Amino acid sequence: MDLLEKLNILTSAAKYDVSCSSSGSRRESYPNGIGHGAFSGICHTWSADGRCVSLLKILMTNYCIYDCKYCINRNSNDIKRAFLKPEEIAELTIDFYKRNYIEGLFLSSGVIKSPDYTMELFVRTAEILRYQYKYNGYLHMKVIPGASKELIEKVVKLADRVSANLELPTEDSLKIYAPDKSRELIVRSFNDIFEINLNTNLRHSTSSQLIIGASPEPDRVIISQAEYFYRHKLLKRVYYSAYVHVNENLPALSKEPPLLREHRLYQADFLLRFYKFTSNELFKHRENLDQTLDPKLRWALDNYHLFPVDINKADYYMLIRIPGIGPKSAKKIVEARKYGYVGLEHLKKMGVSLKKAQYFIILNGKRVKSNIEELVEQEIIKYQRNHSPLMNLLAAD
Amino acid sequence: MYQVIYDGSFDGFLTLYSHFENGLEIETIINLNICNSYQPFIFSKEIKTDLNISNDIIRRVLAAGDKSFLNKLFVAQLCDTDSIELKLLEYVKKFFDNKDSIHDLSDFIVMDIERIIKKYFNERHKMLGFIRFSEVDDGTMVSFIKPKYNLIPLLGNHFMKRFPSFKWGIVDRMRNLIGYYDGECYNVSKIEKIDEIVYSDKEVKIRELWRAFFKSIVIDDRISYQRQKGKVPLRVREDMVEFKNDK
Repeated sequence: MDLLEKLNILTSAAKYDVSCSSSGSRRESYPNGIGHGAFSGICHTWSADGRCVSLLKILMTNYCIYDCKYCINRNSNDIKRAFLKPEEIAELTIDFYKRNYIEGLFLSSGVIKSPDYTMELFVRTAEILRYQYKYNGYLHMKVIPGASKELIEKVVKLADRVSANLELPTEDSLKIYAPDKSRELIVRSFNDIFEINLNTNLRHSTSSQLIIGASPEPDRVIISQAEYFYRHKLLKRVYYSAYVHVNENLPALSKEPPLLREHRLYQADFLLRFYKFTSNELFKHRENLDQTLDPKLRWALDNYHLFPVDINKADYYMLIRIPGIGPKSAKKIVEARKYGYVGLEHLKKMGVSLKKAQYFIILNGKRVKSNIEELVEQEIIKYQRNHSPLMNLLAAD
Repeated sequence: MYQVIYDGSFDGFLTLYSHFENGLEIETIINLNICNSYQPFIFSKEIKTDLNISNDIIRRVLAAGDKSFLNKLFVAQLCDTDSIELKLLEYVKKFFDNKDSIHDLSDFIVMDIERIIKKYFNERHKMLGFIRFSEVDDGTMVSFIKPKYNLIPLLGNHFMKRFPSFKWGIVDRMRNLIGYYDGECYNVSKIEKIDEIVYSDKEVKIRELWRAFFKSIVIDDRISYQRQKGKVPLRVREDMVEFKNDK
């Protein structure tokens, strides 16, 4: 099998892992080496499904001893299998990196022989890259739960980010759909990484992924899981992956991947991380996130008694809770207030989305707009235009 | 009211400013970097770049003790396709009148300049990802771009950190500028024409692999060309390997 075919197989096998971020690394380059880390992360292209491609995302192999019901690479599936040697992966990475196709490598794999054996091959790949090629770019590696702490430590030291997938939000679901995996082992590997970071003074971030729509848990359970890991600093980022119906014998909850649900979960996740919301606030009145309205607007409507807010008086934490105003605009408002009164024109120039914000703010002692029903109506129309089955039918020609 | 023509360089702009300060009335400004041909008429005035004048102005800015202003000015001046120059002249004047006034974020000129600087860095950030290098026969890496703004002067830093150990060059096809790194330092210069480039043997193979990867990474159930177009605008695709059909 030639390299091209292997690459095709192993890329297809890796595509359901959604993580692609390359941010958070501040590596300097070696004088005679290659690569450095750009802290803000760089996207290099976008594939036809509109997902960003910043890393060479690939499996080392799609052979796997596990038989998880939702996974395309599971043991009992009859598919073409391939294996890339550590040397091949390293060379391919350097060739792509040199041409500025990618920001780094994302290496995952099916489990061959044992978690330890697979991890050893990971370590080997990373060592070739770091020592032989003097590569100092971004490296994202999977940690296989159940591998020994020594191997995890080696990987953590060589990589910029490590991750292990939680896969499903509860232990019960995991038992049904992925009988070979254990939640205890996954969480233990997070703890191991946390300890390694503490002991070695490294600040490598850890991420994880949850599959949405393969098991019956409501959004509240999923978001509070994420909140738990964020709060204990075990994870820096949780990704949500709408389940794509790849295996026949797993009755997915819906035929189409639940993309809108995934989108709302990401919005809620950002509210947790950057807007200081808690999951209790978001799920006070519901088990699942509202599909029609985004979670921040939904929260603002539920807590309408807190509004309107005076732009020139409110503190930063209240400003970021106004729909249409994010951390960036809020900072600008706070900064501009020092020089004078902030008016409507200023807000426009700052990039505040007034379409929503105008219903929630006071300027010049007056409420800008008060008929909130108008906004809700607009949002519902927008939702229907984008998501109603009828409109989709009409749009598809 | 004059139609003023200058060469598009930062020094050229500062020379232009000194004319403006001395009372030259300007109606339009033509930047030769992005506009090779123009119709001269009786009220056209070509400004010759004078390094003595521009250095003088730089000295005046530094004497006022604000280096960040100079940086901002430099970046904003690179946003050539937005015809920012007239506004920028007002901005410099504002600074010399009262140097604190450029921190007033509620002033509309200041806001516009801040916004355009942000736009510049957005474009630069995107291009850092979209630039595609190809290996020439002798091992040099070369890339062609056609960015919205004049990015070449501010691309060197990033790629020098990234590729310190080999030679590479980035060509701006619209402005005929090249930024070239010879293994030690990065220089920007004008180019007249480019000869046919012979790429290395490996290049074809790697391009094929990259296209294969780019195709295989797509989840078919989620295809949305509209989203893709929003992220990778058509104007940048002509120089990107994965969107081109050649060998």
